[in-house]
Amino acid sequence: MSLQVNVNIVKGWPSASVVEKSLSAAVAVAQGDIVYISSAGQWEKATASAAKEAFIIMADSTDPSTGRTSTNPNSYTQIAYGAVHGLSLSNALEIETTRYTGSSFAPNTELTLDGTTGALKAAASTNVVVGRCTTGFVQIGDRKYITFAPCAPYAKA
Amino acid sequence: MNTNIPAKLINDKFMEKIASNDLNKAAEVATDFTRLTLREEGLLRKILPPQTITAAELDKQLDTDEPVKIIDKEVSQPLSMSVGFATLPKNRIMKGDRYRVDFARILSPSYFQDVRRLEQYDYDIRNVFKENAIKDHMTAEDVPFFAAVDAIVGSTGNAASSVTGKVQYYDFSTSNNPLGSAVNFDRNSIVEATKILSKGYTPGPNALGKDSTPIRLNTDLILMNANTGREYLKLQHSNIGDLSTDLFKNGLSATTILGHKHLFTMKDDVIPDGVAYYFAAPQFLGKFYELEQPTMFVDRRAFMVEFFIYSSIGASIGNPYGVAKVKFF
Repeated sequence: MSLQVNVNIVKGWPSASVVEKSLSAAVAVAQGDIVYISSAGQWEKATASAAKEAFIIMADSTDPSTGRTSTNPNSYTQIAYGAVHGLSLSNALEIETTRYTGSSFAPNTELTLDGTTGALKAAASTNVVVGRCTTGFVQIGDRKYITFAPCAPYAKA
Repeated sequence: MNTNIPAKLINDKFMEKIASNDLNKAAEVATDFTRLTLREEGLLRKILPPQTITAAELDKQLDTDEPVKIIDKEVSQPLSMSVGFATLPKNRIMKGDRYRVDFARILSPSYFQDVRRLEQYDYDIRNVFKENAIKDHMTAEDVPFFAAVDAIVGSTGNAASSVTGKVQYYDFSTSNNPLGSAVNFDRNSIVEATKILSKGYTPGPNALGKDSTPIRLNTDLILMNANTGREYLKLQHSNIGDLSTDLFKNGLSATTILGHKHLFTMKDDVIPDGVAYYFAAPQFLGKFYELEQPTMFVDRRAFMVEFFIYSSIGASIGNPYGVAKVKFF
């Protein structure tokens, strides 16, 4: 939970035509995490896959409107309204995000996921690609973003 | 909102306004209908009547820009004691507790269709979708609330709640209930169930232990589905006297039994057969706020009409001792 903006959709959203979901999270997720939908219909983290629909998380699972539980459960019980919002990477979007690992993100750098952390990183030759950088680093305040255009995932090799 | 207008009349006005392209009026009459129906049929709204709250009354948080309201709780304080002369009192720092109410949006799907196609139904298909959307809206409010209640009382009957330490779930279908044998729905279990909230309980050891005032609450509302409620009709005159005759003659028209308000719902998907919930009065239970009351958005672009319902609500059970559950069968 934070007031910091770790994801900014530069182009393509808000829009009534995007594929978006509000789901509960099977594990803690944060803004910018790239996740998948589990068989139970919850957000889950996994390695990049060309066989699954990838989503980018727009809110921390600890934010108030995400159906979170009470912060002090023995004192009170929060009614869990809300869910965690995510946008499909198959949408035509351009996204700024601080959720990445690595230091080299020139335009056209193909991006994959860093294991099961939900973070983006530059794709190696055998990785599944989920997007391509459109701009190098952008510094806004104390946040350093990479900008990328997501795509339907494909195996790079 | 005029609450004296029958829901049917409000509903009939909707198509007139759509036909005349008066969308603001159409949204207004549809919103009236939505709120009227929610008030009549929403379970949470009967247990914890919603309080309207404005953005100005919310409490800003350091770490989020989402709406939050902080509520002060009644303090838990120690008992007075009898002491010998010249004994000085114990010192206690005065410090209260608080809880928070987080808000989220409840949103129906957006229903749309070409008006020419809508005209081809002998019944008002738009109205059917609208009524179902309202029911879904209520379910979206009610289901998380009962999930929270179930989380407080625990999933195993006749065992202490992991939240409060008090047994707040009696299962009369098993023999380890307070009556000592499986009894199902009878006079004994019905009466015993009403004691759950009023039985004094002193939390410990985290609070003030045995020095603190026991928590005791009156049951304000008993909620069960109509199928469970009809079990009252089976009770004999020898069990409950003339009430038996009244119930048999008039059905579940009685709303006060054993001096407690009863609410019988048709929603057996939310409240299963054989289960009843017991609630303290709203002021001893928690808060249910409406930041945006249920509102029907209606739009018509050329020949396409669409509508959806949205609201912003938040609720918390500030006093986990204020809820109880019973499984009769």
